[in-house]
Amino acid sequence: MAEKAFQQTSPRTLHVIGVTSGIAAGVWLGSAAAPNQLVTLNISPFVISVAMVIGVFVARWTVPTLLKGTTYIIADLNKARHLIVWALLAGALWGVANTLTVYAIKDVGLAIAFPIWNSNCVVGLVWGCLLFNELKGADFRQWIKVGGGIAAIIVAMIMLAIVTTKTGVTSGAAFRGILAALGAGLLWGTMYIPYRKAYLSGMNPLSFVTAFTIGEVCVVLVLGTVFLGGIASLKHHIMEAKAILFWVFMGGFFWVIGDLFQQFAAKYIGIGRGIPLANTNQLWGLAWAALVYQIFDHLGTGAIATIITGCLIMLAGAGLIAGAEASDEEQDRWGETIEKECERYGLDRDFVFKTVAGEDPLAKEGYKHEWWDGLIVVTATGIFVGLAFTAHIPPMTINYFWLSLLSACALVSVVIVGWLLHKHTGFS
Amino acid sequence: MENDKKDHSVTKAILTDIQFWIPVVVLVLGIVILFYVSTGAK
Repeated sequence: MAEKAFQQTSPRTLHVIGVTSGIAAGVWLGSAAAPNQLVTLNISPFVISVAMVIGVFVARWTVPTLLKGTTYIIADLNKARHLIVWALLAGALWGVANTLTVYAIKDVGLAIAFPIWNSNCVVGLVWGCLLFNELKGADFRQWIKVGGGIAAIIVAMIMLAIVTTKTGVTSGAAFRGILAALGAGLLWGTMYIPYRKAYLSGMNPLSFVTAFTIGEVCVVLVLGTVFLGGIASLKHHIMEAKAILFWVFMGGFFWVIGDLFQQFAAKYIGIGRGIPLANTNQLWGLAWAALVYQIFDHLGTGAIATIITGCLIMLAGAGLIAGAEASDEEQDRWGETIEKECERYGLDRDFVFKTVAGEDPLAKEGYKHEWWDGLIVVTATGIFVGLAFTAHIPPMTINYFWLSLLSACALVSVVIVGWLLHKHTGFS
Repeated sequence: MENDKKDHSVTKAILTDIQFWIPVVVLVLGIVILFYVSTGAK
């Protein structure tokens, strides 16, 4: 029998870490979508996406550098170099999906598009079962929870799609918007294949995302260049949008924090359970749209009630799936998957099992922060500060009370879950 | 020589890994959808 994946830290503790990471991911990913409301200002979706990804790229290097240092990250990537291919691939999937979401928001609105692309949890669950032995060996109750959760999510998706016909969106735009949102869901659900593969191979999430962001920025720059008619045109569009760049960069920064938590959720509870929890970002996206931007003012009470009911059903479905904690037998099957990865790619089996169990054996090799780590952090911070001086508040309704309250919630979540990850895993 | 052999076997392992090809196919599909959506939006 394969070695159990979790032996060093108790499975219960790792489950709690995974679940809280998933919830924190929801808070930050939901907040990250808020700047995309700026597409109503007639800025090309490609420009918004490119700017956001450049913001992600800048922010992406700061957190891993601060927490672990570049020498640690490079050593970790060297341990399983084949995973760099998957990291780049995952980044590319994210880049295309993110651009699709901007089109979806433009055509059917954030409140509708959000739950549709959150169908990625169903996609991820399928891949988790088929490729990583997730839910293999699960008992009848766990399958009921997961099946009920998927059914709830599908019902909610249909409800929210129907509402699009009542919001004044033309049928052509609604079709394109829904197709874009579904496409984003498929890509984002599939993006978890590389995530899960990396963590079952012992890679630190902080290292994986560092390589991931290179694939992400390359693909979005290529797409932006092709669709906007060349590099000069792309540059011109970005310069034209200079006044809102800071906000989009901030969206990218929020996304980086959310995605890091999402990575830890995928590592400790798997993608079948981790994605639905991260998808509670829908609730936070809805809160930003309704409370901060007040975009539902023109809708009838029936449409609003349907949107809220659909969101609640979807969250209930996500909750059911997340509550299906992995049994001992299922964890044995995860262990079998790890064994296969070690054999296929010649990985150090002991190292991999230790990292999957929440240990950080690489940290014991004495990698320290170097002077250039400070330079990276200062440069990235300088870019954000520089953009802040050129920023203008867009001409749209913003409720500052709710903006402050939702921001405070996000800060509280990062402190609590960051502390849990630090205490129990050392951000491993 | 040893490293070349190792790199070759890793490349072969990647190219025969279904977990590599599924994301590749989905990525291509996503680009096609993006092309359709962006063209229709004009």
